Amino acid sequence: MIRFSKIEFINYRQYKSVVVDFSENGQYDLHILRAKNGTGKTTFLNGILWCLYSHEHYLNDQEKALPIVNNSVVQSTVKGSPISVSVKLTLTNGEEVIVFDRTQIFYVKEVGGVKSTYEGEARLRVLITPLNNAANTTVYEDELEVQSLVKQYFDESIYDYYFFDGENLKSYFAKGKSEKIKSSIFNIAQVTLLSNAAEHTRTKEVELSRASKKIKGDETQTLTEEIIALEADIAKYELENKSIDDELPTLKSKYEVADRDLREYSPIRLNTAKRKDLEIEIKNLSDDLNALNAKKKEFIIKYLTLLNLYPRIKATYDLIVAKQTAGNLPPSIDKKQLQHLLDSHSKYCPVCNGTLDERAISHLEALLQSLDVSSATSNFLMEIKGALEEMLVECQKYEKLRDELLSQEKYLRDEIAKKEDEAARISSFLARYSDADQKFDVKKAEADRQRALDRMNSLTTRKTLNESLLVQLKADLESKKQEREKQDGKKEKKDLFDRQLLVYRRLTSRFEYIQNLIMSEIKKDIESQTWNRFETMIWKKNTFGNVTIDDNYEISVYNTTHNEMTGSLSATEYMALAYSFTLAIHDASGKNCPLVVDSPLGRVSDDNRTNMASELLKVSQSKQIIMLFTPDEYSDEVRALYDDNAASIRNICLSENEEEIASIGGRYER
Amino acid sequence: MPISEKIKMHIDSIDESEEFKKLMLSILSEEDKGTFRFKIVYDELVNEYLKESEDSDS
Repeated sequence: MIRFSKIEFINYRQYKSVVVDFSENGQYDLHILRAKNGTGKTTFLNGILWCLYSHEHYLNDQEKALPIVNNSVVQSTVKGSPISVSVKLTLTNGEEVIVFDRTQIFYVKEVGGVKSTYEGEARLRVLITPLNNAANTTVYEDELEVQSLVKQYFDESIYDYYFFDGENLKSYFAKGKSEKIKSSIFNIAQVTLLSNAAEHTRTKEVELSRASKKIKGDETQTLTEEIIALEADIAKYELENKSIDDELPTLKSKYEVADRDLREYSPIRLNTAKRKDLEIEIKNLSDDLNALNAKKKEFIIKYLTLLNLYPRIKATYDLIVAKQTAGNLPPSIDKKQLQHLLDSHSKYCPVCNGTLDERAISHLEALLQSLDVSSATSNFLMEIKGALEEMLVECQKYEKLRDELLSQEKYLRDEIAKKEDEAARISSFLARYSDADQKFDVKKAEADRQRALDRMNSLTTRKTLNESLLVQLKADLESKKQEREKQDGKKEKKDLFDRQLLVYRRLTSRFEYIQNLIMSEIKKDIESQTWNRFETMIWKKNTFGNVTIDDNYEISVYNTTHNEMTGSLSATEYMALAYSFTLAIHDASGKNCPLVVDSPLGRVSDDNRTNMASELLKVSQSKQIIMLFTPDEYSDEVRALYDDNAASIRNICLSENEEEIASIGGRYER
Repeated sequence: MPISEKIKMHIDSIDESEEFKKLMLSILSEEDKGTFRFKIVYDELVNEYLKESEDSDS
């Protein structure tokens, strides 16, 4: 249950310094405030409205009313000084203490000896303190947040359903109001909260569905297969190279033994020594050839660019030279300055201070015409001219350098071939060698040497090839692994999106389901509770048949023969309907808010008066009701019901000068 | 403001796990604080729920 526990006024109209406590006392949470007309009953109600909405809805004429600041305070305050006006509402909802605290500063001014005020800064703040943690107060000062909190408790669009004026029911069932009632009930009953939550979870659904679709199908399996194949190839080539590495030392040893034996056998020593020399020479020549090949590569790259650009380089260079030859690029003459000199019609040359006669001016004009580029362009062209010249010289060297490289290459290849032939002839001789002594089998040793050499060459070539393949395969493997990592990340993301999507779908459907359920329940509850209360409050028992509420929350009363009679209700019946509907709205909203009523029985008479007072007393067992009576309105039949049951009964009394409330209390306070 | 008893009662009566009901209430509480942060906060809550569900499954 939401209830006022205290209302404090400072300098608010006649409530100069008033604290009204609404402690619970007994089984009824009914509080009576009695005051003569003009004492401040409606001001009490307006004070609450001003605190919540900054607007006094029950003021007869806002524009012609006195300012809200207490007049006696204004009169006793020095001109220019501030006066703070505040109303503070303290509520509890069973879990928290909520304080709505509005303060408005006024400054005193004085014109012609008459003191009045002008408005200064104003603010409404809301302080929320959990009942189980008094030290943890949250203060809300942001305008939007504060307004939202006010709306959650006492929506301004239906303020008269919380702060009821029994004398002012004209607009209670006015046309167009039902829409406000509906939207406000949905807001208070948190149907709007459910609908906002459903809308947002639906938005998330759409976003996630799009994001999930953007992530393409799973390529992880294909990539894993490719990685396995690459790893197998790499292992195969590495194993082959390892076996080559294992075999090479043995082959080298065999080769060296056979070679040494051959070189140490004196009848062929000259041949073997010669072959060794040739082999060394071939090795050196091959190294030179390799170095030349590298040089040739650089040469090709350099001239590929230069020769491709040659026509443009040449054309640009020729253009610069042509302009220079024609005198169009004189670096010392600034075209702009020359133009300025002619435009200013100066009589003297700024360089030599000589007279600028007609002849000189004609010469300058001719010179200006001949300069078809600016000085900046001219300087730039002169700068690149040198670089272009160097490029052209390089291009001219091309054929000579190319021929030199080719001739060197040819020489080295011929030399290598010649020496290889010579070495091969020696090898052939040794392969066929035999002598009479048979002391050493030259043929076999030569065959062993050659076999080892051939095998070594073959294995080395194979290993080089494998190594080059391994570099490529390892690069491919790395790239595939990176791609798979990316795919793994994508798959993980897609999985998460899909799981989130399912949760959001369930949330949307559940929120919508509960929203529809509550909306339907609310309408039914309001209809049945309005009818039940209305029937109890009215003395006529055979006239009214039922009350209906349509989907737009328009209320209709029917008689026992099912004819609508809403427009034919008496003032008392109309008030009973208003009470019934108000209390039904309170119940159906799911928020048990307090009801503050000015002139609660003002328009009610006869048996209806007792019925209504009795029904409201019953309601106060589970809802706080604060009633503001005039002494006449608090008649004997009401007194009989309330004097012994109300939680508090107090009189509001004005001071003698009638400018402030002197007391709230008196003999009726329990 | 606290979520109404009526909503709590309806959430309690739907055929869902306790974790999911808790998630619904958390989302409504966040929604109640204002709609500006819902995109980030909803995801945090849903991810927390998914993690809790996984933990209780395993």
